[in-house]
Amino acid sequence: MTRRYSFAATLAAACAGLALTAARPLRAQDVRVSGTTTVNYVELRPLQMDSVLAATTTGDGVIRLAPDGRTVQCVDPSAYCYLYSNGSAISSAPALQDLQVSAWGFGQGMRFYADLRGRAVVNGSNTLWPQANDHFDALEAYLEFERPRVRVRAGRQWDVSGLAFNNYDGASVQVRPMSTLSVEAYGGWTLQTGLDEPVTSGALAAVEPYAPDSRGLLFGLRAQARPAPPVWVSAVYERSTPQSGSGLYSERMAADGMFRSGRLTMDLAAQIDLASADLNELRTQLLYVPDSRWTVRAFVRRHQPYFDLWTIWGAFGAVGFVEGGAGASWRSTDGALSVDGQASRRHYLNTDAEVGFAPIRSNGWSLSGSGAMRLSPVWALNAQYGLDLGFGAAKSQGGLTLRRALRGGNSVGLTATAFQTADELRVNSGTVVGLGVNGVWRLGERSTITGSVADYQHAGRVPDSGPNWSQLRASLTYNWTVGAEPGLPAPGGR
Amino acid sequence: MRAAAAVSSLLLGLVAAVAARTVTPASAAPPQTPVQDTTLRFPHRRHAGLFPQCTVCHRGIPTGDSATIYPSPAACANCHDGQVEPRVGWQRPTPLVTNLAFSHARHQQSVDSAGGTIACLSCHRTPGDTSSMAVSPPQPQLCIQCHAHSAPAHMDAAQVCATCHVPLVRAPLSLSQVAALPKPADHDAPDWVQRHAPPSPAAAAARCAVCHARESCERCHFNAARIPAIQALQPDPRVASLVRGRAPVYPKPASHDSLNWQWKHGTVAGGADGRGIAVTTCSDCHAQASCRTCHRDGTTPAIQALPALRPDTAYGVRIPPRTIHAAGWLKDHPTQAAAGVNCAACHSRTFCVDCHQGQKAQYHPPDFVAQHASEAYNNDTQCTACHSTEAFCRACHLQTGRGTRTKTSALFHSSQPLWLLNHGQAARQNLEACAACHTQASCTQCHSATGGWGVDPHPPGFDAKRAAANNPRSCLACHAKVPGE
Repeated sequence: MTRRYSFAATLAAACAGLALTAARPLRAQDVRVSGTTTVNYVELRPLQMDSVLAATTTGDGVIRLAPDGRTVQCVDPSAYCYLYSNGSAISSAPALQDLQVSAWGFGQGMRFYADLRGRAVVNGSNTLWPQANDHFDALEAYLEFERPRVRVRAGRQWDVSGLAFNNYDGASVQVRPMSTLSVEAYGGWTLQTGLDEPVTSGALAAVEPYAPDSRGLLFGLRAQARPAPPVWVSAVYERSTPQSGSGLYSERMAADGMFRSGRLTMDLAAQIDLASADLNELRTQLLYVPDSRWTVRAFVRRHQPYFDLWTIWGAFGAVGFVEGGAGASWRSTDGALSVDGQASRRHYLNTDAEVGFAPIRSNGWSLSGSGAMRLSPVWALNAQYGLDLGFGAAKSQGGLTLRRALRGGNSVGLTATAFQTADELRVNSGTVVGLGVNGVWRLGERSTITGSVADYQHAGRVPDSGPNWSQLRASLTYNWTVGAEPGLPAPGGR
Repeated sequence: MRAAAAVSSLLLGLVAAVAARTVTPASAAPPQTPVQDTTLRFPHRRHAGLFPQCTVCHRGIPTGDSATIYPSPAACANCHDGQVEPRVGWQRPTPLVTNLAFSHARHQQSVDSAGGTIACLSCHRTPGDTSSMAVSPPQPQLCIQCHAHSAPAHMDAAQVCATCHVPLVRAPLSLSQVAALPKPADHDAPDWVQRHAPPSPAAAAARCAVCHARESCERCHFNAARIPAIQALQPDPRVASLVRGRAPVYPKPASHDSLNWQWKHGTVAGGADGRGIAVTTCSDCHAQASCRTCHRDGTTPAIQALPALRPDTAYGVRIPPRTIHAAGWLKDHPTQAAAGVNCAACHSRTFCVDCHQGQKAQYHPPDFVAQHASEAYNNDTQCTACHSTEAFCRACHLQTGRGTRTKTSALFHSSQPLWLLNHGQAARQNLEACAACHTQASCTQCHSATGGWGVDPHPPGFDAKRAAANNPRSCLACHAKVPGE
């Protein structure tokens, strides 16, 4: 019922927009449509539970070894022992069609905008790509009335704040009493991040037995100010409540600021869960630019994960971590060479759940570096390396990209990568080596094709000891735009 | 005296019509007029003494009578009749094409009206030779001795070219002659393009117009219609032909390499009134299209103040798309966007949605799926800013055998033989990672007061009443009743 309602609201907004678009043209009425057609090819090897006869294993207890050396789990008095092994590769070729429609001229300050997405699996499995079975989504669809001091929007729209970048169904009123201050109130029905559907969506219920049965009502208030040119500050308060029933889904606020003085820039961000009295994020960074070649930065951060109140996760006492890091960038005066490096270290707070004789890691650090070199007017080389060590996963990854610029803004590139991982507290072996090509081809001022294909081979791994990341991935994207550009002459043909 | 005046007039008449190239010493200034055959074919010095005055042969010089500027072949034949002297094939020279504004007659009149006198040899004497009839075409340096005011040399930056030259549009020069017009030395200065603008339309007419037409400027200045100095020049089809297809030149001002220029340029261009120097300065090189490379909406007054491109104008500076953000921007941008930095000045909303909507593959590298675990654990970039932990992460992990709807096998976390004991610490250190594979029901199988083993998952000091007040329904997942009721 809720999903039907969501779809109906979206459809109504879309129809209203189309009706306005199809109405008798007024002076300065026009429309622009941009499209992105993407076809991907992905492969993956799902892990699957496998078993061997307990009698063939060696060792005692729960953890034993299979005849081929793999680790298995044996639970007495079962006749079988179990392990995870790689299934055969499955592939999928999902196609996505995005359309952005902007139509204006229905009266001064009136505009209709929609960002629509269609999905279909061209070939292969429909389980590998997110929401592949959801064939239509409206990411945005709203009517807008904008004048110098006020903006009103109604429909599905995105909310950008220190709390999130989320969309919702509802209305917003933004007032700008002066050029340096804006205040906005918004409200409606919440949508799940990245899902474009309410918390009562079937997509959520399919993976979460405790999914809510009532949509969330949203109310938010935001203020942004720029008291002086180098100072930006904002604050937002947001509250989401069940449409039926009592309690909260969330009640949070955030404050963000940025200050620039000469060669120094400082930004500060804070997120607070008012309902749980938790500080979810506190981060500050200093950026110093001694000259046009150097950039030096340092940051300190405290992070504690946030969970919606309809989940039980908040009752588990997540602690989060504190992190500090620093980095520097340098580029030559002519821009032909640039390098960047950064290191950071984080430390998890006391969990009150440590096991003294079998501790797990409670800190982590990362190191990364990258460089770019322009070998000639048309050739460029990029290299990067990253090492990330943490308690739950680790990665050592490096890559090289050689790119050649062609005429007309076209380019072609060759990419090589290699990495090792340890993830989800599992031990993996071997190194994944990948080689790929990619390119950009401009068909005109408003039309571009980009494509990439890469093959990855998981070399040196112990068979079935962990995930096998050998796979082929490819992507082909066609971007185009038709219609008018406000402020520019109409393109040829119109 | 009259003879001297006549000789002077004769030589002036000759020299006024020829260029100095063939007789200019190697160390002298560049040629003044286009390449033409300016050899003096008449051997004046061999006839020295025969003609007491220049006007004997060049009678039309003082009067401006073109028919008698040169002697006729019949006049030569008076002596060169084949008997007294050998016959000669003298022909009057073809009038040379020039952009000089000089007229012997007017020059003579102005001298006369000023009460002065001037001899032909004043301008036409061969430098360093005092013998009779040692004549040669005058050099520009001679002209500027009287007419250059403060200029030290011909084609000096302070020179007023129009004193002696007609505007190019009136000069009967051929296309190749226009192309071969000499270039003043100051035009070769490294910063010439930056400071080439004449101070006024009158200055443009007095100096620039001698060698340039309107098309010379329009080659780069798409805003030519707005610049009075350019409008002071007339269009010329020869120049149009010469500049057609030549790429415009837009040197980069030093200010553009200054610190934080990418952040400052808007304020400089916009100024307090929203227009700043956009019209007066930026528009010399930048049209709206320059800005729209980054400023996708292009609705700021400063951008609107710039001219839009037309098919028949230069295209202005083409700015390639580039990243102006400092390294580490990926981590910084949420704060900057939230604080109110105008992201929309450069990015369309789609740019943000493409990443934050979480289903397009372009944001992450192709092999990200194989590497994402460490980033997810370390919260380098918050996954939940774009993805639903349940509907995105968990749904995929379930499909690919990494997630579970029920209690999972401890074997999955194969690097931790005592996982059952360790998982509490791991969960509190990164509960989001747990939720990416496990449903809430996975946990309540053990951590439930009603259906599980009754293992208390709450941390020390857990505020049950606050939790219940926030959302009593979540308490009922594990408890028979809401605390406090």
